[in-house]
Amino acid sequence: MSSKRLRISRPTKYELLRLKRRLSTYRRMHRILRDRLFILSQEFFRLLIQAKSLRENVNRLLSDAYSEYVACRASHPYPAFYLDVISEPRVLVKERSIAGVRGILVEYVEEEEARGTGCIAKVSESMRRALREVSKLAEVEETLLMLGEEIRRARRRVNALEYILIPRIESTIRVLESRFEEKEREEKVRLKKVKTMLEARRGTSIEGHG
Amino acid sequence: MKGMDDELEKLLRGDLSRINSHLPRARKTLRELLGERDPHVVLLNGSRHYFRRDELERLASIIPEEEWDRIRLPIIIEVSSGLDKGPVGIIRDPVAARYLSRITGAEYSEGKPLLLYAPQLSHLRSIFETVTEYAFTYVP
Repeated sequence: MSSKRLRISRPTKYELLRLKRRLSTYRRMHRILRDRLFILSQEFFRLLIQAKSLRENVNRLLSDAYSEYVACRASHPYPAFYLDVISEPRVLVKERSIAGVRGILVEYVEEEEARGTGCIAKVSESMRRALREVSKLAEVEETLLMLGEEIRRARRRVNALEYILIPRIESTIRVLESRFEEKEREEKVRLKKVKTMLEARRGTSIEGHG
Repeated sequence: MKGMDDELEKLLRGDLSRINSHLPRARKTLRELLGERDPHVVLLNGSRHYFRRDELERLASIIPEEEWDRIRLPIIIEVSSGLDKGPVGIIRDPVAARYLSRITGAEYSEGKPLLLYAPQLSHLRSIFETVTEYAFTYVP
């Protein structure tokens, strides 16, 4: 934790008041940024669990789809077979916001008509199911990357406030307050001495006249 | 050292001024959004936020049709750690509060905002990811 102090040009009471206001602003900033960090982290972990489940699903679906493809291919040994099974996939990528972080929405555009018959239709359907899940997974993983970046940035801000700016200001305020207290004490002592001296002089002059 | 602190403060103030710039300029009703081909709203920072159609349809299935013109989307969840130890989410929209309390299991009183704790927030967000959005506020 930083124990350095801010350099103050004029150690006056007005400056002390300014510092206290600044401290209050920093504490407010810290609370808001910390809340945001909490929400971003919560979103991140929620999507992480989703990504794990989607990844397992995608692996399973792709494995099944490829097995069916290979089996069907054996009975349709012509080069352009894959074109009968599925056309080039189309996805729409749109933007969205998650607590201020720019994320994406990926929509897999379904083909209107079913393809082929028999094993071709079956393989086509398996491939489409797999692609649907792949597009969902792409959306979630990309969003996770963006969230991760933003969480790193947000954490640095929160730490800067918590460990540098706020402790520095608090330390400076403490020093200024103790200086003012000391000055006040010195002033009181000085006044007391002056008062004692004046009283002593008054006492001596009365005796002299008397 | 003073220079670095000033720079840091400038950076943080900049961050704070942008913290809610992801909120929409104007929200749309559920009915309007269901009627659009690409339902979306424009945000304060100029970008767009698209809604998932299946989320809109799911919301439409739990809210009666006569309320579709009263509920504006995205539903804003105000986040503040003022009251308890951790942040809470507050939904002030009365229509949203009434119906979303049934999904989250949160306590709801008519006319009062809906308070959501972290697990309830997470559950709500997992169902309505694009239909809800966070706003960050400060409660002293």
